[in-house]
Amino acid sequence: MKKILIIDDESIIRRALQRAFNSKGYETFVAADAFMGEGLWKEQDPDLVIIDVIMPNKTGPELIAEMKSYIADKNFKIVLISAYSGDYDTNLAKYKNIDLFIKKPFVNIFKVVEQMEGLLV
Amino acid sequence: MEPVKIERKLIQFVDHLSDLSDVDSIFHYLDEQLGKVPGVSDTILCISPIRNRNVIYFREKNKVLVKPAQRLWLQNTLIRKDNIEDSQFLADHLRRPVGQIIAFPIKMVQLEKLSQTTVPATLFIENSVTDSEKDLLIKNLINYIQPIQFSLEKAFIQLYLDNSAIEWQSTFDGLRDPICIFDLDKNILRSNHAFKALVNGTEVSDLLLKSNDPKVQSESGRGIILSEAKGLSLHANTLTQRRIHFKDKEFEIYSYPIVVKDKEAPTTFVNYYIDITKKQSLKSKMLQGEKLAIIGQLAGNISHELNNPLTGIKSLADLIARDPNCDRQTKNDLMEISVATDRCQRIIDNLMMFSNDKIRPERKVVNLNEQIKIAITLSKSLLGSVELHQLYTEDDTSVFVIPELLVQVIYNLIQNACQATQKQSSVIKLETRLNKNMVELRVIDNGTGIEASTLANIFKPFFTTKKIGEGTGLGLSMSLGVIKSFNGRIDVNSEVGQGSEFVVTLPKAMDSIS
Repeated sequence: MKKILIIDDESIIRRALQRAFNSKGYETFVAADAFMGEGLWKEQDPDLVIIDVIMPNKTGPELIAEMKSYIADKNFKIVLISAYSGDYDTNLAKYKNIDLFIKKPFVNIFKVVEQMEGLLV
Repeated sequence: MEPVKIERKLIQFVDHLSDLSDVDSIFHYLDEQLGKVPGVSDTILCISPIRNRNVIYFREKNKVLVKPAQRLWLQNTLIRKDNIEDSQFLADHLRRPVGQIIAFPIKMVQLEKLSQTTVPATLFIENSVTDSEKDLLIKNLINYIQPIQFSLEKAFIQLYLDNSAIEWQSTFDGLRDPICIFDLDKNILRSNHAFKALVNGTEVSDLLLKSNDPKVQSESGRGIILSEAKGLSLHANTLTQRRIHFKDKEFEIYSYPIVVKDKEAPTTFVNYYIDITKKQSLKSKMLQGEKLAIIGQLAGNISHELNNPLTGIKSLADLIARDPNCDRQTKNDLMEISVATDRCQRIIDNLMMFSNDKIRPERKVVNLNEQIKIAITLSKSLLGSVELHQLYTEDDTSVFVIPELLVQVIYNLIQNACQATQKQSSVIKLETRLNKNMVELRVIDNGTGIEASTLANIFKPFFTTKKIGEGTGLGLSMSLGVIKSFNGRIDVNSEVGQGSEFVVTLPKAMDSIS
């Protein structure tokens, strides 16, 4: 069973994504901040990590940089989600070599989940 | 001559002289009277009373002439007989050989401070007396010198005062700001051109003292002003400052009490008026601009903050609704939630368009007709069954704008028109035309129209007549801000029951760039 880690400080987003992936048979883990997320990541070794950009204490991109430096050859996919859809974020996503960048608001949760699943094939 | 006769003559001379107030008539009289003294052939008067304007008075044939002196006469306070320098000076100026000369320097104590010469005037007596008679002639004439000195001095002080007054008034008039001096009874004692032009025959009491204060208008007014004035007298330089609207202009008034004697209440005041109309309108425009910028920023922040929970609400509702375990009733409820969040997101999108971080503030020359077409494409879902008439001018409609913002404004106007025409036969007309150097866009609807009382408020931020959830109250105020920033304007014509017409006027590109 593939594991998915959702790191977002907005609880309702966590719940929505968790519900969507659970219903498709994935094992999900949720974290409300980068610190908790990093712990779960090390512990659970997920296949996909969904990370929000703006979070208290540490931002998504900062967390990603740390994960990458911790172990570079670990095989996992990263999805960055953000309510800030300006050029800055898009560039940042490219720069940090993220697998997928998704803008909030999601127009359609089912399509978003499909896109993310595509990374796991 | 007998001493009594001499005395009488002198008294007559002094008496007559004292009636004369200008140098010209003094010289005429001297010339006439001294000419009667035996031995005197000619009288010449040199004066440099004020600012070294040296002039020389003399008679040529039967005419008295006044000529500028090329140089100063001998600055010596002693009475001189046949001094060679005096003779040369006079010969040069009179352009003829001169005979024997007695020179009487005339000291003018009061004028010394004003005149920069030590001997501001000298009376030259050309004569034909023998050397032995000369001293007698001097003795006869010397009695006349002091009265001459007095009357000349008087004449010059008068001249000086007149000049000063003219100088003062012209300085006063030269000032572009209105100034007036008035007394406690609101009598204007003096005022400059600018003040007269401002007042131009209208009632001025508002301009002088605070007439809107009923106490000032009443009988006791004088007392109050006096007590105010007494307070002011302790600090002679104290000024009071206030603002007033006068003839569609706004003025800042600075009032200074004029204190003549220490510790005495002033009875006159100087008012200085500064026209701050332009300053005020610039200030309010700046404030309006700042407000719009802040609202834009705020809208951006709020939008971002709301996006997160809304995304969650909508996603979760959609997900649960698809759950096979979810019953029909709950499913329908969840669909309602989803539709409502959709609407919230549309409002947010609308707000976000006006937040600054999406739009690069680069102005470009674009064709207005083209921008309208883009806006129409974006508003397809709004228009629905609305009948849209497009009437574009073939003239050049280039405008110098930030295209994204202009499209947003047009989109807004179309959206408003759509919301105003929620009936079967809704018609919205979009027309462009060139009016001199201005490009106009008209958005005309056959909708409900706008009440006159509402019309005054439609451009105010957060003002809305729409149902909660339909309007943010920002559309028109933002649109106006945007169009104003392109040096344009938005006008509205509306009739209740007939519809509304919004006219966006923008300068044609070449004109706004130059």
